[in-house]
Amino acid sequence: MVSDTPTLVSSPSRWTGFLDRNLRNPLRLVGIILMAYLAYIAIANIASGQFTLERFVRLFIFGLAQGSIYALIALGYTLVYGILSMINFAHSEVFMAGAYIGFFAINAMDQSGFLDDQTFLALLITVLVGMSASVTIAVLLERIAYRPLRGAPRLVPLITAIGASITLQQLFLRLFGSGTRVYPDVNFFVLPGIFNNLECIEVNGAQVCRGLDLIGGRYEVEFLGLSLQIRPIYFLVFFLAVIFMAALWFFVKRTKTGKAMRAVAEDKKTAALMGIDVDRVIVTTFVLGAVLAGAGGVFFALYNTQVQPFMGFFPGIKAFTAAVVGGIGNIPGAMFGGMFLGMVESIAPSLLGIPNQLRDVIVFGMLILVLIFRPTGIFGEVLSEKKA
Amino acid sequence: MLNTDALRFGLYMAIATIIVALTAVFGKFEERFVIAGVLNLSQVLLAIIVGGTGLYVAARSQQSGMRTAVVTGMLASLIVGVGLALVVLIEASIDLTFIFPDLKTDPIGPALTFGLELLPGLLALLALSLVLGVISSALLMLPVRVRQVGLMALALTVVVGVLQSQINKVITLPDALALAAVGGGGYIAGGRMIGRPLSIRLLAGTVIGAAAGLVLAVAAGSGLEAGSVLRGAGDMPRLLTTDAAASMVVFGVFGLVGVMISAAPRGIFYAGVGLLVAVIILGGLNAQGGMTLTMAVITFFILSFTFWFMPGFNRQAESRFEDLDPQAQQSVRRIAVAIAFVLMLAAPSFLGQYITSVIDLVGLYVIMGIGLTVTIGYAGLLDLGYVAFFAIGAYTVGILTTPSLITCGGINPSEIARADIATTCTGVLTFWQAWPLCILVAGCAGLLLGIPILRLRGDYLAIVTLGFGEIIRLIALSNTFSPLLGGAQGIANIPFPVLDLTALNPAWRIGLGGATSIYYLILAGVMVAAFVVVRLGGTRLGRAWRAMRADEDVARAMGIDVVRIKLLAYATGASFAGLGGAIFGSWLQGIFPNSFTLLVSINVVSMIIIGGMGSIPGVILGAFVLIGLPEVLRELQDYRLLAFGVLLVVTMLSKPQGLLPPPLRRLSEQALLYRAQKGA
Repeated sequence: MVSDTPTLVSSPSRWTGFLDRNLRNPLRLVGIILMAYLAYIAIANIASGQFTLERFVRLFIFGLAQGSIYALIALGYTLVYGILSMINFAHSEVFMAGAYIGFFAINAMDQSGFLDDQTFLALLITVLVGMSASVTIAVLLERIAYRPLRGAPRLVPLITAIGASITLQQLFLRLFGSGTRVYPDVNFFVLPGIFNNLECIEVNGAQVCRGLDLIGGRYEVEFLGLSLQIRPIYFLVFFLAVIFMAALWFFVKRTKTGKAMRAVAEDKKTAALMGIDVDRVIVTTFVLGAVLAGAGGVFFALYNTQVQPFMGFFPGIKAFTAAVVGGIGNIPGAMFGGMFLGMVESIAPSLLGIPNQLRDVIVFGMLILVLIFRPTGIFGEVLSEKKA
Repeated sequence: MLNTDALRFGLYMAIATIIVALTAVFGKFEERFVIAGVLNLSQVLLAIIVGGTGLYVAARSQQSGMRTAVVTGMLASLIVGVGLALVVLIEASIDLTFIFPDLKTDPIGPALTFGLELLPGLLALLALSLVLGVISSALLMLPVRVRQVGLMALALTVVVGVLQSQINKVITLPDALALAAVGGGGYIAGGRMIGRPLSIRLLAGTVIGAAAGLVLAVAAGSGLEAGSVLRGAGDMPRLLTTDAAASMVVFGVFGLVGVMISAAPRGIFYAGVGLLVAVIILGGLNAQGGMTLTMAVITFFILSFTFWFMPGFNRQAESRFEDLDPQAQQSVRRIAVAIAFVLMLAAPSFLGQYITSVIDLVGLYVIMGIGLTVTIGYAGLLDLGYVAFFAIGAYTVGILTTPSLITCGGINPSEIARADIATTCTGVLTFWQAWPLCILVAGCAGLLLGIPILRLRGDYLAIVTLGFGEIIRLIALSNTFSPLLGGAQGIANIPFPVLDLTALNPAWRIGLGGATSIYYLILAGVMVAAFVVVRLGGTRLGRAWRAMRADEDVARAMGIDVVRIKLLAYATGASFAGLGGAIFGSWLQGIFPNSFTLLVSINVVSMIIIGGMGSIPGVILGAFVLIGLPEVLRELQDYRLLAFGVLLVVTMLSKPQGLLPPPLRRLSEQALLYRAQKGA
């Protein structure tokens, strides 16, 4: 019924080969029909004027921020999977811990007035605190829950990871209460020279313009004839995420530890024979993933403002979906998958005229659609499963 | 020389204990008594943490001499005590309630200073940890067997104490003692007549039991006023005073149990002894109205006695059993199963509404777990969206047995006048007509899910199935589908199954409405599911699944149609979830989309893996541990999921194969047995 055996008949051209491959496979045929149908709905919605360009740009910008967060988390899943071939289910709690502990830092600084005086420094400290909380938890997790189980059957670490996830979630719930905590309002003004007509206040009778409020600002912008409401933080989150990802890319590709990581991902035993401390590399991987997730957690909380112990669940699941869409174990795949998922989640409901309640259905449906055409994800290599 | 490694462990424990203390657990556990008025759960927890640390550390430094071990253990306990004292001090001096809001209602201080002032209280805490440390490390000096028996008895006593309020209404002391005596009589009689044929011995046991029951019931009817020595604060003895016929049957069964354990294999022997001991302890609890200090001491001694002497009796019973001829051995096993069945049938009327409903829930999960055993345990396909099929089963029964879009011929029932519902909605089915459809629909959904993920392997399956589970829940929740599925309100007023036997006897119209009557439906479901799945495991299909699980490529090369059996594995697993969902929907008489969260899937998968993948007894044990235990401890509800998570991690770390892994070489063993029988 569903088979992938290559046909012996040589295909005359790429195009007919493509047709042949897809039309002979009923599953892909269904997938193609479904995609064509979705495209039809989308075009119909655009043509009827229900989906305007303004709306698109607004959703696109939000999708940019959301996608960056997903990408940051997804990288943690992918890094760990690439090295240990296990799903670190508790990674969503690593993300949550960063946001939650970051709250205590920023809240304390808000109370003492430090946040208003030295906004940049305070934000930096918040991010660092969030990251260190995430790193602590990830390292403990690896040490207590995963290291003793290396080499166990695959389902065993998965269950441990699920258990660790529930434990962490519940521990935070019991320690810090079930209530939602709200990040304080942060106003971070930059470039008063350029944005000299924004955020103006009266000081001693003179008008002072403080510049662009990078974190808390919302601005109505007329751009190419479109009137848009823009929050600069979405761009900020996107650029910061890109910087983090570039740094990660540099780390993995250019440093010695990165090389060791790739070696361990390729073959643990051989890597150990080459004098690589496998345990240390694995811990480094968890630390890297946690740094990204912790930073992502604080960024997420800065524009979403609310933190609570269960906040990691949905971003975690979606980031994992993103990692799978991109091809799990593949770093650019996770970045792309995260951005892609953020965009789809943001734009697709209104583009396809589907109620917002069913947003997550689209996300998972898209996952299935992608996997029909590329069972190992978009960037995933087609490798036969390694035999233990 | 002190073992610094061991002391470092003490430090880790201290940190962990501080974190645990900050969850306000000590304040909350104070409300639950283990021994009425004497010892509460908070103190027990403290003793377990402090004493356990001492014992563990002492055991680890044992090789450097007993004295060092005791000193190290004591120090480790003291470190934990100091950690706790520090938290109490900090709590008293700084306001922690912003960060740890639960400390507002349940502060740590009062719970750990035993109602004393701060300073004397802290001193008492430190002194207590010192004493506990010395005692627990000194346990090492006892012979190993004494220590094991003592600790096991102590642990079980604590468990009984924790559960006291739920299990003190099961059986009265006179009943319990009479039953135990009959069991003992059967045991002695069985031992005496060991040379005789099995049937005669069993008959003798039953007759002894039944006769004793009759005599006791007639004789004891008057002598058991409330407040007498035997009754204490307990209820009216049911078996001895109310129903002579029923008591004859029950006593007969217990006499039979007695005979059985006089010559039985290990498992049956311990099950029988466990039953008798449990009956005595439950009777005692009833007479004392809960776990009093006297009752705790008695329980501890009964349990120690059992743990100490039973291995010897077991050896005797086992050697007697081995002397029996193979046919008699087989019948002993069969009769044991029959007795277990009879006891299961009788259980709800003794256990009461609450415990029965817990068992119902456990049974529901067992049905699902047995189904998922096919998908995960046999075929090795991970499924984290199993709840979807459960939901599909429940919604199908909900839609088919109530007036709905489908049963009313496409008209929304809310638009039909109340009086016309009966005439318009002609499609409404009964539970008995609906459940096969539920299985069918869920099975088809399993096929549908199976198709797109056929080519995926391992971890891709995890996320796709998880996504599928979420999709189903979100669809059930959404407004778009609410005319059919009810949206966030779900489906209400689902009728309970009615067993309509009016054709046989006009009075036989049994509504399976409550926990105690739905129990039988669930029991039947569990048995059918277990039977089907066990038998399926031995078929060609079952072997094909196992082959695929071991190596898909090789299985394909051996000519196994991997596509077909994968789809079958999903469909079979899904069908059982559909059955579970159908029972669930009609038991609760309502469905709410929020009952179908990811946690259900996680519960079922965890059950299977903790129980030991691929083994049915493992699934049952897993369900009792993961579903039953937290449910019984409902008063400690806040900590249920925390305990669940810790339990998952700890079980996997200590027993990665699960608690009851399936026997490995079962097939070859069966083959050997078969050959031996043929040759003989």
